[in-house]
Amino acid sequence: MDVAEALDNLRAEVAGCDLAAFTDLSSKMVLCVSAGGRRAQEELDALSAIAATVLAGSVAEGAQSLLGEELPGSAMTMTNVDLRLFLRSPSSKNEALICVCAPTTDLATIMDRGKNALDQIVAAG
Amino acid sequence: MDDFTRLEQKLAKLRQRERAPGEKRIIRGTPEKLLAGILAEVDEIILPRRVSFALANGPALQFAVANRRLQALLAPTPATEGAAQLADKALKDAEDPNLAALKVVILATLKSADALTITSRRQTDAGFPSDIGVPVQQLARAWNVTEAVDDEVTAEAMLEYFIAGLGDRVLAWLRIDGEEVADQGGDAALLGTIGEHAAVFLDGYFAKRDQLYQGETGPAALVLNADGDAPSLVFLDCGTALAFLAVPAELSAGVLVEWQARDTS
Repeated sequence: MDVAEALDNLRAEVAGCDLAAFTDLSSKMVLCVSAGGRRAQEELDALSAIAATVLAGSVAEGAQSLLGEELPGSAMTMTNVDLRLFLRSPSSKNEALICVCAPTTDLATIMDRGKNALDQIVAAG
Repeated sequence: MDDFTRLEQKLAKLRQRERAPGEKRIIRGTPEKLLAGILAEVDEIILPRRVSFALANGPALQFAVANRRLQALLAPTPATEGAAQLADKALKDAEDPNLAALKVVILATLKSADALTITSRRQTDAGFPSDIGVPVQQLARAWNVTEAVDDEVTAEAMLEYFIAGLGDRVLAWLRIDGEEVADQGGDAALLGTIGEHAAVFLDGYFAKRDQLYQGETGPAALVLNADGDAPSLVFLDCGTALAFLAVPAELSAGVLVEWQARDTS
């Protein structure tokens, strides 16, 4: 299964998941995306920058002392507008999965399916 | 408050909540606050509805409500003394002799409660005539409930109720109102760590806040999970009120689910 297929499957499996993307945290570039419609490059760049901020950047570093001196392996943001999940790859610390979902999306499901998708992407190499 | 102001507030609430009619909500607080919350809910209902206020351990108070009037306590009632005698009996007006007894029953039912789950649905039977029931303003006066007139919950109060409702699922917490630490609780060592490093976190957080939420100004939550055994950080941002929560990693998603379901009124 390739990256695009894993992301498409993730979106199909989770009701309310509007966008799934695989990103490189160091370059802050989205490597692959699955979304309902065409998304502006600026939007994808912004999402990638947020992923870098919460998993490796200033927010992550600021929280490090509160997390047993580790950088976050996963992060979630929630507003009235959306729920966002950021999952760092277990094998490559500079790669991460991003999901943008409706605020009412089932959290347990998106976490579970997100990890599965990331495992599939890692396994595909 | 005039009707236009009320409408504007209602529209603002509807935009904020983005919830479907009948969708369940949770309100938190002391029994007296919950009683005020019940009145605030009644104050928002125009069409005839059967509204349920359920306690965490199961029993529920169900009311017939219409035209912003509390019409009757409906069966099945909780096992509270005196409740069954009031079931399905219409409250005619503010002079109704059952009004005082109903307040006693409600407060007795809520005695050990700190949260209520609200759901509403259409009344399946014919219901009561729309002019039957006690308008909320009169009910608030009769029951001496001042909060019902103003149902606005401050960000500070919302966070306070939310954290209190989490109980021992939070290992340690620190709540900030404005620029001051308002309250804290839980494990002393974890609290010490939060206290020592909160400022560093806030520096990074506020430098990136606009980027994180992309201009969204409502309440926001950020959850950070370590890969190891360390507790997760749940950071709640309601503008003037902020909170740090240290939560067992396996419970962090559950806490966020409760944040999803919180009452925002």
